[in-house]
Order: sequence, then structure tokens, then C-alpha cells
Amino acid sequence: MFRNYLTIAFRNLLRHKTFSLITIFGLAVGLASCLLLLLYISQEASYDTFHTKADRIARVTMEYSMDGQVGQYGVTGTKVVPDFGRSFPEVESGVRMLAGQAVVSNKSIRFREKRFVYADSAFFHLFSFPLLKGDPAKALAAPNQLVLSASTARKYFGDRNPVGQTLRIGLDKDFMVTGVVADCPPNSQIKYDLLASFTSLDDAKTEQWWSANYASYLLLRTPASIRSLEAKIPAYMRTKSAETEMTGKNYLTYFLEPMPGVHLHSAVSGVFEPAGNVTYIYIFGAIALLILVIACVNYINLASARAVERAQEVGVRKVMGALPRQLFGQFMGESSLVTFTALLIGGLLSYLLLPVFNSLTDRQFSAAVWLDPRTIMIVLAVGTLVSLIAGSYPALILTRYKPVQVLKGHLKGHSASRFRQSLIVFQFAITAFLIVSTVMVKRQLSFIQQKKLGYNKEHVLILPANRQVNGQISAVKQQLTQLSGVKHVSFVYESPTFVNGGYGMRRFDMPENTYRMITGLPVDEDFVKTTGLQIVAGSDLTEQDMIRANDPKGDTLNSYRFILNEAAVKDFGWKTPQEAIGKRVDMGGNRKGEVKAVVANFHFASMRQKISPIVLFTEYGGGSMLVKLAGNDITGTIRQIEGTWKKLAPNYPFEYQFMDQEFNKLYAGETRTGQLFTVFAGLSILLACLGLFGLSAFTTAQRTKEIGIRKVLGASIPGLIFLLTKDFLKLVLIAILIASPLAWYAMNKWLDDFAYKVSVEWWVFALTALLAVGIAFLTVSFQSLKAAWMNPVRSLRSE
Amino acid sequence: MIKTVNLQKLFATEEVETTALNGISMDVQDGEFVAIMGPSGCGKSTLLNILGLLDNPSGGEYHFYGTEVSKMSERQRAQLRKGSIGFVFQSFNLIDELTVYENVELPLLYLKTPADERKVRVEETLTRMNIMHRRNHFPQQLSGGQQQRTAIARAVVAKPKLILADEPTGNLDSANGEEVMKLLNQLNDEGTTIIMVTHSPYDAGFAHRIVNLFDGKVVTENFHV
Repeated sequence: MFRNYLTIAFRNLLRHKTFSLITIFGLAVGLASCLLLLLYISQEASYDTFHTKADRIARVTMEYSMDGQVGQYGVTGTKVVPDFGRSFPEVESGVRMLAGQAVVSNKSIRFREKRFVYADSAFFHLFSFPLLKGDPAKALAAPNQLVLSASTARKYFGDRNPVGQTLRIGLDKDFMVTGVVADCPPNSQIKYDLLASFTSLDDAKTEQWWSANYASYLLLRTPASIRSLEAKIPAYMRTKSAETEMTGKNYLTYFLEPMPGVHLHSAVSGVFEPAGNVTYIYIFGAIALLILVIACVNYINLASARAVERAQEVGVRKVMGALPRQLFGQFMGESSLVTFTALLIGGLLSYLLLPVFNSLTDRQFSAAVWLDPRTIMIVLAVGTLVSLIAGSYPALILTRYKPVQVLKGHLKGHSASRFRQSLIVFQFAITAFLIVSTVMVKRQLSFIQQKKLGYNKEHVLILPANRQVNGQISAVKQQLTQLSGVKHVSFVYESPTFVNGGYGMRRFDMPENTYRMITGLPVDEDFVKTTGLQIVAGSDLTEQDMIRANDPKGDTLNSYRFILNEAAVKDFGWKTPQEAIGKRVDMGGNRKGEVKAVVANFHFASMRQKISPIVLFTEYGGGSMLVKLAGNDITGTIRQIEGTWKKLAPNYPFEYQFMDQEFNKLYAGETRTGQLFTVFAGLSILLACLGLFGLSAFTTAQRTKEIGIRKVLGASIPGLIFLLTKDFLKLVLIAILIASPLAWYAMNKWLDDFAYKVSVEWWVFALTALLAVGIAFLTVSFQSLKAAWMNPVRSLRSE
Repeated sequence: MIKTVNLQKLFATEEVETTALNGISMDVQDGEFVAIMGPSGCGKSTLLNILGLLDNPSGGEYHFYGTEVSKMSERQRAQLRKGSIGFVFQSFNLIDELTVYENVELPLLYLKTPADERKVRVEETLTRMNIMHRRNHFPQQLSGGQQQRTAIARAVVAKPKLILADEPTGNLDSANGEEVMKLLNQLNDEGTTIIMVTHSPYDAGFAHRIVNLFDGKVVTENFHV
């Protein structure tokens, strides 16, 4: 009997190729999308779960309040870990880490290492990174020790054993390699290529509450003590107010975040890679589900529509004595066959598309995950679920047919058609929703791209400054500006696309120790010219200003010159930019001087945030070098800059980045979302249209006789097409009406994250409607045209 | 073996109620060949469906081999029908996706007949119906007569005691029709009870008895021989 079912299922699939192609291909694409998105979601959700002690590890975040302004950071000073270890019995151990970059060399092999991390010796006690060579207890115990990741070890030492060898860090520090650790897995928030012992740092010698640059992790004795310890911290920190100099209403305190939740759920960014966002997990999960639902709907719709055709078979089987249970089993078996064929194709498809998906998501997923028994179980469960959902409705309809009715008269599929119509509405509502979302995400992204930033990010190179370059600033500037393609060179602490530095500042006429929080950026006299900031009052910095500020013998009460933005002017209470010029200010007690200029507000952070006060001040930051190019022959100019660089800083690799690239990185998440939306919205449109195509083919075939009669009676071809398409178009329009308010709400919610954003306008919905109706019309009219052009004699004979 | 008492069948739509059968009482003995005749719409097929346990009457009694079946559920009727009744339809009702062999095999599958026995019986029946050479063809590849022979093969393969035929020659030319009637006659000679609905007086001539229906009632019964 089973063979008989299988035979008939196969022959049915082969005989109705369009139907089979649409359902199997649709389901395959749906399942492939699901598999790929599942990869993404499962990796995001599995972040840091591989640490065996993950449930006892907590990241320490810092919060302080100064004169009513509250700041939260994912970093702390050096004191938190050792002090909490001594003061709280709940704490078993802890690790401090400093993440940065370093130029590392083994004789002539030299690289700038972007994932260079200093870590306390308990690192391997807390975290489950397997040490392949070396002793986990001693590898980071003494100063100037270094543990390499396996691939970094190969980079510098080939196949030789690196343990016991030395590597040079920067210009003159030698570190001994004491271990090799496995490359960190992609689902780890802590990312490193080299681990250096924390004791190598000068800062490690003192314990400080402030100078918060360090990631701090605590290992607690029990998982429950994370919360109980956290509750004790505010009171404890108040006892330290003399040390922290946070008295009165001002405070400094800490929070503990369970490690596995940091990646997706923390609102505070740390020193490692940018955190994930749980919202996007929900969004992608929903998209995967929606696409699968669309594919299922295709199957349900087509199979239940075709049920009429198979009524005769059901009738015969019933007459032969088939029980409803047996028939239900037969049709469920058929849907399983379809689903699992689709699953196989979908699996292959997702395997082939993995590289594309990787570049789309900027991740490195490997197909090995799918071979994991747990994944296979999940996939099989999904397959079973899909065949159950997609198969049960058609199976139910078929089983319910009464043999007498089926074998005698003609069956009209009216009872099920209302259901099919609702499914089409549902499908197109999803599609319309995705189209609206795609258009809105794209609009917001192009808005960000095109918004006037207040500075010019075009043709600006960012190079990492280093000791050799910082030691000869004027020579570097002079030699580079001599090149015809270079307009300006500026030394700055960091690029203006995203300024991190936080400072306190007060007007001289404000009481001491009443600092306002302000973002700050050390710049030189060429910064405004290089970045094209617009001065609205006062005048630009000069070389003289730089000399005065950096003169150790100068007037410490008035050596600095400051440039404020308009937001800072307002924050300090001056009525106009002009009023601020020449006013004396004090930054943190150690930088004093006067406001020399005010620049128009510019975006030094993501557009998610409103522009806040910022101060530029005369100090050589030594972090980056900005080079403004003339814009013609960029490759030639870069080659010339490289030549000059090699002469001036022979010990450092020549690396650069364009400022607009760096800017785009700020919106990498959104860009990725936009691309994923486009791809999956496209897919859902394709699938929905395939379903519509199949269904319209079916209904048109059912109406062949009607069309013949109408033609004989003189109906025109456009009239017939209208007749055949109008029912479907009506459904699509209803779908758009349902989807529009939902999409409007969802997109407004998404845009709420941005301080600077486009508005959701009516024409987006009109465009979506036009698009959806247009596509649906094309799909359906293909079938209608075929029917309308048919010779009526043929269509009448077909009954 | 078959006995009906005052069978009633009503079809009700929203507007009208039609009486298809109005008090039919009849007996059919083992080994009998009965033809049911009458004008279109007189209730012939309705009666056949009820006799074939495909449908329930609205009233009256139906004793099938001594069992009162008129109140049975579809499920119980399916169990009873399996293997004891064979059906032959005017439009053949073969399953297009199955070959001649597989179509004929179908009733045995539902009877859970073992595979080797199935093979013997299907081949035996196909040979008898003179359709063995077409065993691997699909229904659309056959002539009408061949299709109906396949349908008869399917009806008899499970060796039912009763065959119900609904205008078995209605879609056939006279030569093929003659052949089908001879087959039915032969089956009857071997002891199978046959009830046949027909329009054709010639076909009815093969039967032992003709029951004439009009407006859902038995009007006359003619006995041959």
C-alpha cells in the first residue's frame, strides 16, 4: 500500500510539473532562507555560551553621575577587579583587559595587529579558550609574556613551536611567547589574536577607580551571587566616595551583566566588537518564518485547489473501501514527500548560497553547523512541521469528499475558495509589509549617506599615527603637503566620524568642581581645514596656539585654545556663538584657556543620537593622522604618501582607510539589514507571485468553458483579462490595506532609534501598492491572456 | 441476500426538497441478475448508491446479508463494502495516475491481501478480462472498451458476492458494449449477484428480472425465464 501511495505521489508530481515546480521550489527557497537565517540567529544567540563558567561570569559596567548628568560605560578603572576580589567573598576571581592595536614584528615579519589584548593571569581560569601549548596558570603571569592564537602563531613562526621565542611589540619592547591558544570562536564577544600579560602595562602597577579604559570581568562563586553582589555595590561605593571624589549627589557605581547576555542584551558598549541587537534577531527570525509561511501557503493553496481534480481518485478509493484515516495518511505522505524533497533541495541551495550569505551578513558561517546532530534534529522537525501544516488542510478537504458526489456530478471548489482567498490576502500582506520596510530602510540609509554632516568626509585618508611619526610632526606635515595631491594634513586623537573621548568642562565663572560633561577631541591647527568644519564665530587655530598649549613653561591658566560646537555654546548658557569667543574655560582642571572659535554642529556620532556638545582642543592626540587629498589621481597620490611614509616611519606598516568608509561602518548594521530586507522581500515577492501564478492557472483552467461561451457571445480580450484578473487584484489590494498600518507602525518604531530620520510618507504605501498590484497583474494576466486567446471551439470542447 | 423495506431518500437544498426514492421495497436473491430501468431522474442511481453502501437512505430499512445497514456510519459502511461489493461505472472511474495492473490491484491493497496472492489474482483477472497485454498501460492509453474491461477486472478481483453496475455500456460503442455485457453475464453464470442500472432494453435483456422505476417508486417488475 505504501508503495502504491509513493507511486501515485511521484506520478502526480511528474504529471503536474508546474504545480510541482512551484510548490517544491517555493518550499525549497523558503526552507533555504530559514536555514540560513537560523545560522545567523543561532550564532547570535549562542554568544559566549561556550564558556563552561559562563553562568558565573559577569561583566562590570560603570555608571557615574556628575551634576545631574549620567554616563554609562562598558569599561572601568584598574581598581574594580582587585578591590572587589578583596572586599566581597562572592568573588572568586577576575580579569581586566585592555584592547588595542600594536605593531608586532618577528625580524622582517611585521604586522599591525588590530586585536591585541592585555589580560590578567586569571584569563584562562575564567574563560574557556583552550590553550593548545603552554601552562594556563603561568602563561600570562609575569610581565612581557605573550600568548598567540594558533593562526597568529603560524603567521609569525610558520610551523615552528613559538613557545619560548620572542616577538617585538612596537619599537623596542620584547615579549616572550608563553603559549598558543585556539583561535577565538566567532560567537565570542572577547576577540583577540594576541594576549599579553596585564602586568606588562604601566597602568597595572597602580589601582585606580578612574581612567576607565579596561574591560572588567568577575568570576563569582555561584550564579545567584551576580544579582546579590550587584545589590551591594552602590552602598559599598558610597563608602569609597573620598577615593572616587564623588560626593553629595554625584556618584560612581557599578553594575554586573551576566556574560551570556552581554552580546545581545547590553545597552552599554564595551571594548570588543560592537554588540548585537536582539531586535534584529527578532526581525530576522520573523522574516524567516514569514517566508516559510508564504511557501507553505503556496502548497496549501495549490494542493487544495487541485484537490478538485483528485476528487475522482478519492471517490474510487472510497468505493474500494479506503477509510478516511488511510486517505488522510496518503495525502499527508504526499505532502511529506514534497516537503522533504524541498528540504533536500533547500539544504543544497543554502549550502551553495552560504558564501553569498556570509558576505551579506559579514560573518563567517561554516556549513559544519548543519552536520551537528542537534541542527539536523531541528531541521527534520521543521520539515515535519511544514509537511503537517501544509499537508493537513488539503488532506482534510480530500478526505471529506463523499464518493457519491464525486463520482457523479462535478465538484466545484467553492467551499475552499474563501479560505484560499484569505491565504492570498495573508501572503500579499506579508509581501507588502516587507516591501514597505525595504523601501523605508533604504530611504533612511540614503538619508544618512546624503545628510550634511557638518564636515567633509570625501577624499580624506585616515592613517594610524605612531611613535616615529608623532616624533616628527612638522617634518611629516611639511613633506606630505609638498605632494601635489595632498591639500592638508592634521594630527588628531581620533577620526571625527565617531568621537569617544569624554571630559568635564566648566566656565571660569562657574564654581569649581561643577563640570559639565562634554565630548572632547584633541586636534591640531589643521583639523578644521582638513575636515572642512564650518566656523560660525571666532577664528581657526594657529600653529602658535599649538606651541603655547604644549609649552611646559607656559601660562598654565591660559595656555589652551578651544573650539566649541553650537550645542556646547548653548549648553554653557551663552546666547550667541559670538558671545562665547574669548571666554575662559577649564577642562578637567588641567587644561585651561579660552574659546577661540565656534563651529556649526556636526555629526561626530551615529545619527541615532542627537548632536551633543563637543570641544576641540589644542593638543597633539597622536592617535591618527588625517590627510585631505585634492581628489585627482588618488591612487598615484596614495603611492606617493606611502613612499614618504616608508622614509619617515620605516618600522611601521603603511595602512590607511578612507573616512567615508569609516563613516559607513557606523551604519554597517543598518546597511546589512537593508540588504537582507531587499533579498528576502524579493524572495517573498517571488514566492507569493509563484503561488498566484499557479492558482490563476488553475482557476483559469476551471473557467475555460465560461471563457469559451463568453467569447462566442462576443467578449473582447481585454474584457476577458479584466474578468479573470480582477478577483486576484481585489485580494492584493485588501492585503495592502491590511499591511499598511502595520508597516507604518513597525517602521516608525524602527526609526525611533534615530535622532535624525526620514518620515514615513504616504507615497511609500502608494508605491508599494502600485508595485504589488503591478506584479500581481503581470503574473495573473499571463494565464488570462493564454485563456483569452484560446480558440473558443477548443475551450468549449474541453468540458 | 438483499432486502429493502420502504426505502426513502430525500435531497434537500435551501429552496426545494426532492424525493428521489419513495418507498422502495425489493428483494434480490443470491446469484440473481437484476436490471433497474426508468427515465432520467427516476432515482435509479440513487437506489444503486444506497444498495452499494455508498449512501444512506433517509428512511426505511436496508438488510444487507441480514445486517440492517441503513443507519450505519460511513466508516462502518466502508468496512462492510470492502471486498463484498464490486462497482462498475459508466465513466469507468479509473485512476489516471495508476497503470491497468495497479488499478486492478487497488481493492486487494485495501483488503491487505499478501503480495504474492495479489499478483496471482490480479494476473488471473486481467487474463480473464483479456486485458493482460495492456497491464502496464495508463487508462488514457486505452480504448473505452479496454477501460471498461479494466474497471470490471477491478470490480471482480476481490471476488465480491455482489456487483453493482451503473450504465456500464453507456460510454461504449455497440461492439464493446456487447463484450462488456457478455462478461457480466459470464460472471453471473459463475454465481455473482449483479444489479445493473441501464437505459438500454437490449442490455436489460441479459438480466433475470427488470425493475422499472418512476418518480422514486417501483412501477413494474418483469421476470425473464
